[in-house]
Amino acid sequence: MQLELLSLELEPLLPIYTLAIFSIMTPAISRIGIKVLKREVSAGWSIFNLLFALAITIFEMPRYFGTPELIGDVLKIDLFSLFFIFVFLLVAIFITIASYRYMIDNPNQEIYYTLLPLSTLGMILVAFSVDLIVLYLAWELMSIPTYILVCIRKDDPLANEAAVKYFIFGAISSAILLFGISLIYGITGTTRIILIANYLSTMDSTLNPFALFSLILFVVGFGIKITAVPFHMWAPDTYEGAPTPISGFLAGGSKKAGFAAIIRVIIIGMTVLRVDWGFVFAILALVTMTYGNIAALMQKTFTRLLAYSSIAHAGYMLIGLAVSTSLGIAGVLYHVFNHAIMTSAAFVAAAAVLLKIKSADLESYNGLSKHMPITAFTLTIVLVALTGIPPTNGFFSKLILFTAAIDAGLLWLGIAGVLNTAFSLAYYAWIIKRMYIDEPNNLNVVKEPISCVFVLVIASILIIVTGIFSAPILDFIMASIQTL
Amino acid sequence: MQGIGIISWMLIISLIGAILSYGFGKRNDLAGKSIAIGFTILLFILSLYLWISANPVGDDFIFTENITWIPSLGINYSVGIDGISLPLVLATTLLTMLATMGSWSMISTKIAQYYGLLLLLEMGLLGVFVSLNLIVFFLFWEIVLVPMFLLIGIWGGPNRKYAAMKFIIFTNAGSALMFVGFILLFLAATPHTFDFFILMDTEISKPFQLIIMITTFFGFAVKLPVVPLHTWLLDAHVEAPAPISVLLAGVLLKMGGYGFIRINLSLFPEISFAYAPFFIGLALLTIFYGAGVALIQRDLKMMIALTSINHMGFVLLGTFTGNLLGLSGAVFQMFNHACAVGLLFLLSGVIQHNAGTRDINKLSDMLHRMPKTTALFVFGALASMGFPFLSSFVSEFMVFMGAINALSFTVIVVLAPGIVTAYFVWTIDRIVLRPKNQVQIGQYESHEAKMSELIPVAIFVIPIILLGLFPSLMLQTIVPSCQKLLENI
Repeated sequence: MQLELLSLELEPLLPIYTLAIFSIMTPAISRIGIKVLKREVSAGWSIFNLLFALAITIFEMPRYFGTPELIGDVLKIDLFSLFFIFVFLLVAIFITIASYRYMIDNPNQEIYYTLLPLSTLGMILVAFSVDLIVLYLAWELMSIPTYILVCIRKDDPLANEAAVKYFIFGAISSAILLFGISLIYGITGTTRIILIANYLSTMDSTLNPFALFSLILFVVGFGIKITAVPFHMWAPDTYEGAPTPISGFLAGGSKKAGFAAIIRVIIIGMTVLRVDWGFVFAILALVTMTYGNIAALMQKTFTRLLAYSSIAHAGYMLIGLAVSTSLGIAGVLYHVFNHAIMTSAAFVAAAAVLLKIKSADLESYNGLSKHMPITAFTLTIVLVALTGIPPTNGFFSKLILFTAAIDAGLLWLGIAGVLNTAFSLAYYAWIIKRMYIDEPNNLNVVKEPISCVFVLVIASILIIVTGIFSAPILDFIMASIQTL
Repeated sequence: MQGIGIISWMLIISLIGAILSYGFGKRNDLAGKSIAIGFTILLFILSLYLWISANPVGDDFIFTENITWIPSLGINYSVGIDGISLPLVLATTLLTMLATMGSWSMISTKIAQYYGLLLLLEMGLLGVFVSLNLIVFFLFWEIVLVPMFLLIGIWGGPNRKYAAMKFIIFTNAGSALMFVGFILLFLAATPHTFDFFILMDTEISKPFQLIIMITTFFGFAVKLPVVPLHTWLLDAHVEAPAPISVLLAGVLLKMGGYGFIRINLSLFPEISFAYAPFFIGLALLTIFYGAGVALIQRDLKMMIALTSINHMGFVLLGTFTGNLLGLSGAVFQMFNHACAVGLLFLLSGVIQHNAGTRDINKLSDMLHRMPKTTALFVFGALASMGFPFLSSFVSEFMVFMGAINALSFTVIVVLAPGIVTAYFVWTIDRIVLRPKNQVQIGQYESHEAKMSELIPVAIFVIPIILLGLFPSLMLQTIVPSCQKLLENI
């Protein structure tokens, strides 16, 4: 890491600064707020914070369309990172709005609304960083707040179990990553990804085992975060025990940061070992999606089902990484965008049901269309998109992923993906069946939580619109791959 | 930028109809029903207009539209019709219109959702038959699944949940494999594209064609359905409400037949005809299985469902004969079967509604109890048997001739209508002619159906007789396109 970091100019990273400063200000702001309005103030400030960052990003975007900008050789502003900023901010905004109703009675709200944007900042920095040390710092900035967010309801034993499990796995992930980074530094003498890539391509073959070992460490370290089977064990328990919006945040946000890091570090930094990691990712993809889908079919609660569904979707994205042609990476990025929207919306719907029906059991979804019609309808759109039925956006990203796999000669992986998609319909359609066909246990019409409904409606519209008009997003993704 | 053509308007109108009949039906049942019927009539008139203005259709696609959608993936919104899709478009709008009318007194719960889904289903079905891009085709193909799943699952019989889940799992597994075939077709073309016309001119290597044929086979075969992939259909038919059975048997199954003609024969004909004996064998199995198993059914609806499996076997047989007579017979058979089976299914709903049962062993003496219903039932049975001067006779005769020309051992297929005649006559003997006092299993109360229930059923009689007497009305639309398809091989 160079010292130029200290002399970097402020301007191009403005959203990062505002996110950091505004987040830290949250507790103070909520104290200043009038006593009665305290809970509204911290949530509102947090939403403002994220929206402001989004606005700045959109405002500053045109200047990055040209050549990528390097800041202090450790952060790279290119279309790739901008793409991920959009994904992370979108997820964070969704989750924050939905949290408003969910967290309304929690005494630790200021902390919650401070940590959520801070973790988002960590994700954004992961996507920005082209230096392993900065990547590691960003990784920790992303992870540590989420450990606390998971157990924000500190008297709930389930949440504590979830948090402990998540923390242990997260800490192992960080430790393994750090070990991998130190090995790579030992081989190449640098932590800058582009230099690592150059060095590895001219490497002495005696060092090959070390490079492979560090590759394995990276795969495991990132694999824990993206819930690739067999490193997924924390996910179902954590998603179930955590406050449901935070589960959406983990599945929609931090998992996607793992993919950003994999693309930066492994796909770009270790291109030389393509044969090795291509094979590893292909196997991981097959195991992950198959296991996720089969396990999802056997779950009794909706949050656990979504956890396994999101594991399965990590498997679909791993197909693109295994292929790693430009079409494959485009598929990964497009699916990152789509799945971020879908999965966070699905968890928001789960949160709405949990709030009103007081249960996450699949039985409590019986006849949901009668007492929560908007939630049921939007959740149906989300589930259809998760299945990948056209014209939702989930169809087009899967189309690209499977096409890329078959195009690259991995016919078996493409067919496995398609069959998995068909299989996954069984449990998604099962929930639609419960909501629309089965009779409800109680017939009380409940008032749907407005903040959750708002997010769900926006997400459903996005799912349909970005599905039908996917050409501009695809063009943006194609352009962003060129800048990598 | 060209404007939106009549075909897109039909799709848009059915979507608008779905939204309006749902929106108004929420407040007022009667409004929902009337709007739905109005929109289906409008769509039927539009498709009649398509037929009349396009007759003679010539041998090219007409009313084509092409709008760029996702150029980087070779996806464009491309629709158009020719003589093969036109009869199916006509069948879709006709059957949806009559099914909607038939639902008037049969469906009494959740009116708004029902009619909304029905029109959405119509949009999906129309879209499948008009699309000229594989992704658009697949889009509509999948859109059909969701309304059908809900229509069976919400308004079906006692075992509806099982039937709905079985339906969606079977058909979706089939369409997933079909989708792999589409991706392979996409990759076979240079530049990679899903466009139908470009794919038609693309030379694909034989082994590649074989993989594509195997994968797409499952999608079409499950829909058609080909024995042994037919089990979902029986459950779906038994549980589905009668108007939905009309659409299921009348139009949904044609998606499979249409897929075989449009995709198999147009895009990779060499391998399809190389394996024609395999398909013809399957077709014979389907024909005889459907006819044979129908003999022993007690449930009237199950019997009609098996009849329709039998008839769809003729479609498969005609498709793979490789000669003009067989192919145009297959397309004509799809339209005729839609009318005949639509009549019978809708009538089975009327019988259930007024007699309270569909059990062939319980029903008796309908001749005196419900004479008008009986007349229609006997007519429908005659139409299904392939009685001369009714439309099915012409198309089944064409398929026979084509099949015998292609492979002489298929002559045994003439036995199949014999079996069909046998069980229909036997059924008529039991439910129509048998006196009341000979029934041991229990009596039932019944009364003649209301006129409003019988009118939609009676409308089916018109195309059946008209096309039986003047088959050239429809054949002059079908034959040129079939000829062109066969010339391209």
